[in-house]
Amino acid sequence: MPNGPIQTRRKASFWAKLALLGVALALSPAQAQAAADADDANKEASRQARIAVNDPFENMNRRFFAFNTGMDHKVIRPTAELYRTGVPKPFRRSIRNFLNNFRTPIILANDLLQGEWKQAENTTTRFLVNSTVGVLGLFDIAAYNGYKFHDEDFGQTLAVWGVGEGPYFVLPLYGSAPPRDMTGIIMDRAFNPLTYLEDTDRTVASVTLTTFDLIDLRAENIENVDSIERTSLDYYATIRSIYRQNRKAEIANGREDPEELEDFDFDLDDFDLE
Amino acid sequence: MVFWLFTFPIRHFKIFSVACLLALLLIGSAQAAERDLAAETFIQKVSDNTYAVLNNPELSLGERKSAFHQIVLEALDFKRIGLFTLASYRRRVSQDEVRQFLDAFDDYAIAIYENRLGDYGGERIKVVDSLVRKTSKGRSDVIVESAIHFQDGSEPLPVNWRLIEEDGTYRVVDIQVIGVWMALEQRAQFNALMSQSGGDIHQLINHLKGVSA
Repeated sequence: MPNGPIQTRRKASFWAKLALLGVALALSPAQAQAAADADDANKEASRQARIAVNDPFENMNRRFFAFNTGMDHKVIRPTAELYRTGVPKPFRRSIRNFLNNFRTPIILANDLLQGEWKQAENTTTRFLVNSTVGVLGLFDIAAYNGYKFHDEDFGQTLAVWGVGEGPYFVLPLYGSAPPRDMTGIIMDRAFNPLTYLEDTDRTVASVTLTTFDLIDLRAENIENVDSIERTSLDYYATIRSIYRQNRKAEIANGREDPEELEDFDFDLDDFDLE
Repeated sequence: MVFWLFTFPIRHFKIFSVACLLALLLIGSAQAAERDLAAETFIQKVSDNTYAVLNNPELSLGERKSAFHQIVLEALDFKRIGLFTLASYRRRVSQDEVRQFLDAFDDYAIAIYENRLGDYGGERIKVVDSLVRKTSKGRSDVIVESAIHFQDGSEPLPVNWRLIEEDGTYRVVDIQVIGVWMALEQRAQFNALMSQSGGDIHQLINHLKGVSA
């Protein structure tokens, strides 16, 4: 049978070609898509820039923002500075740990509502370890054992469910709160144990915790916020952009799609720059 | 004959399965996140150089500033960043105005970096990973992941670098910290100022000059 091996080789090359064709077919849509994306990039960028602002109440928002900034300068930042100099770092860390531990029901509920089972397990372990060995949450023992803190809220859950952020909104004393995140804040109260306390206890406890939360957060970021404010041409627009980008990153839980980023890939030769 | 009837499909199957495996591997490698080691090396080198300059006790503050200035100018693609932050306005203003804007933007960006230099406390940057986002028109678009390691041992802070490679040279076009891309944030500010002034780029240029002055 002299034809045997040759025939085999032919058949083999047929299969190899077919396989390669399969590869080509699998790859070509992606390549075509990439080329189309590059072409549309500029149009898309300007379209998105207009849509992205989505701030129909800008005048009112800017007024509330100016009020909040004033409050920050007069009350919050000075208090945060006093707190930072007056309270040693280990104490401040314990206060932060306690506040984080107290948020567990909210975080856990939202982990579950988002189907983040691994995160839910992490949250539960943290709570069990830190509430006992960590003395009512004052020490973050769990973090030393690889169970790191993460935050969730109902605004993020709504985003995972596909609810859009809505137009930008600033609340007096509160700050950035677009409709989705504002709804989230209200819904999270259902998971907050303080909600189920007696009226007077609840008010005292929640005001105390909120105050500590705010002052500690501000104390941790004195230099960062100062430098952003100092170098901003438009502080309001900066904070609006930072809020939105930061929220997006939180919602993605570190799994952001790089293909969603906008292109920098325009031709510098199109511009007469010299 | 009988021999052939049995062996042929088997050999045939072997070749087919090898081809399938190769095909799967090819598809897999095309779809899986591709690393760019040259880009990672570039970022690590820039970070190490910066660290060496900022921690060199023999340099005066002025010398440190100018050495840092040099590193930033070489590592960042200010033309591309500047044009990006102008967004759709870059097509609506004259070439001369674009040039004026880019000059002012260079000085502004350097002023900001120097301003933040005061907050530096011996942190080190370590590259972790990279991801080739896209390659087109002879350029690649790469994201390099890194982390800032603090002196006091607190949790490292992730920082991502967006790089465009052209003719074998990498330049940074954007930096992401706590989920915020800097160039995007700058563009939001510039767009806000431009829309307030009815698209007058000279007002924006004056604002930029005000910061760097």
